[in-house]
Amino acid sequence: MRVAVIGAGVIGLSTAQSIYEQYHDKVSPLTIDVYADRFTPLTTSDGAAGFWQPYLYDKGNPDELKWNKETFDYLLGCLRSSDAIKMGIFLQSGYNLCTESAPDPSFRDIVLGFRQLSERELEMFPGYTHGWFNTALMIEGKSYLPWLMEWLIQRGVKFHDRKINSFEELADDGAQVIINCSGVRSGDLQPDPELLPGRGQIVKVDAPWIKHWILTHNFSKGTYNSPYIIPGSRLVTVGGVFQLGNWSEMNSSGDHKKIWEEACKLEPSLIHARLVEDWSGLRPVRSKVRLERESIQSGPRTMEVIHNYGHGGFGLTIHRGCAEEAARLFGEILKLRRWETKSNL
Amino acid sequence: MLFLYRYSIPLERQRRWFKDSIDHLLAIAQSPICAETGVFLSSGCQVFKEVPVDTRPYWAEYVLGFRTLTDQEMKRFPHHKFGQAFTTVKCECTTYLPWLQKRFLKAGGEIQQGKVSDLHHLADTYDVIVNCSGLGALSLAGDTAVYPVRGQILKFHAPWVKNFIRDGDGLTYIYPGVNSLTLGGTRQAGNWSLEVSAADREGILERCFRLDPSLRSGQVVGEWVGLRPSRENPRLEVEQLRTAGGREVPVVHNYGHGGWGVTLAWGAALDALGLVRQALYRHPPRARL
Repeated sequence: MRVAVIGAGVIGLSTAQSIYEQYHDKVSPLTIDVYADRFTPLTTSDGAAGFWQPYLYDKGNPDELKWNKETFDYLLGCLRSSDAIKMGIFLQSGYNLCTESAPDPSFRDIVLGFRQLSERELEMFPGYTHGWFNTALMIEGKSYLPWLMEWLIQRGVKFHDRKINSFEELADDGAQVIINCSGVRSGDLQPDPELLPGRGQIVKVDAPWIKHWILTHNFSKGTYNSPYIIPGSRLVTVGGVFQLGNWSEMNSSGDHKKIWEEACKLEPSLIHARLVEDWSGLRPVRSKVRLERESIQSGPRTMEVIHNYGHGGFGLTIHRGCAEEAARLFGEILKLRRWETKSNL
Repeated sequence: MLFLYRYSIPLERQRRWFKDSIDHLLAIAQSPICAETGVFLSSGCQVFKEVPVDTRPYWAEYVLGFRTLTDQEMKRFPHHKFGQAFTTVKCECTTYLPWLQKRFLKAGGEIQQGKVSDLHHLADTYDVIVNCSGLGALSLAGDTAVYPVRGQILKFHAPWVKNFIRDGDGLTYIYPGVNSLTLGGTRQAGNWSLEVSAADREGILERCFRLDPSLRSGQVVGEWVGLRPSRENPRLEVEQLRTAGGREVPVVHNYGHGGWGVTLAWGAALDALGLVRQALYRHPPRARL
């Protein structure tokens, strides 16, 4: 059984992992090849702050809420393992601040110790009248992706530095199931008008006295368009912007200025931080995650494709739940095409 | 860090010391200059192996967001049964003290380096003496109620640790500083040794690893021993010193805060200031011609 995974960001790598975990002893041999033209540390997952938190409200996507929870619980379990730090997983507490009264977010029962902010705490953030405190997880792409690659390589998964231009190309090479985790560029493989880049820019600074993440929410400006400050294991990520339709991966000095000014208003001590670098990335934005099977006729053969893309700004947050679901879909294909070669005695 | 033990000093006074101190430090932590002071907001938890008698200490209302840990949160601590979470202030004295000193000098204060072995010598030159000699009060004030409680700590590199964890018994703690963690500790009453002990180091590491296994991926970058200037109660009162020449000089004693110096310093200082003012009012300094 030959599986081809397109994309080596957190989605591609974790999907390969879930498929291996669930099927390597059911299908023999199970050959998994990962194709990508960008690998860690140059993927979108690497640039992200690495903070687990879904959007405040799930827009009526109960699957996404479920996958987010599965991911959180999975990462929480990984915290106990000796690999936790190598994986880039650790706990951090912080503040979600709103400029107006708002219902509790969808993740209130998933995270640890969720509570409303007290008056005294809100006084620390002038301009914000409502908010929450909780402990959440960090999952830093720059550590997690190398760990995943290492995990996969140890189990015989092969990596290919190659841009894929069509599913046919892989089918021609012998791939029987294709997992499409091509993120923001999925449109190159199959047009998808629902998929758009949500450009983000961040400033990375050295400010080690800051020990909490602070996210602000301005409902008129929209998600990620108001300041956030997220300390990582080494540097602090300051953002943000969310520019739908902007394909530029170049840093903009105008965006830098806006981000920096607003963040310093939120956390005045930042003016003494040492600026290290800016980074821009394209969130693969979609009305909802595309996680589904598709059988594509190509001449005489049927290509089995599993799409797993469109995770917006919450790829790290949702990756494991999606990977497990993709693996479940893989199992469906195996049953349908009777490709399971080991019988259950 | 700000943690408290119950003294037999009236509760109102303890509350005031605590509240004044934390309010002062919270204001600094939220100011633009906090990086230069070593003072910053720190969240975390305190966990107990047995449910404590007092599940809501009197200082709970002065820290931020005090609450009991949920069952889900307690799963991280299989050896503990109960916990509390809150946000408080971390005051890193290696940065804070130089900053305070700068302020003092800027305000016109003077620093003279030297050992004071007898308060009477100072009484010849000064109108008020404020005695903050910690353990030194044993000899300087002849106060036999003062005794050391030896504390050994490790400086530890594990930059992913952002929250403090403390065992309610006070013996084991993990306090993130600006650039490194402080792991502790020991509480050895009557022990005057300033030598680092290998046995204590191993004990601290073992207990801290149990509280936070991720620490195993970090490394020790320093160690240190200090002697907490302990006393059944901190001494904060005026004593009249009579000089050989017959003068009476008030001495405001402010020592014996044990392991809660940072926690109580500002509040106690305000109290001491009140006592200094009172003393000067009662006995205005004579003009020297």
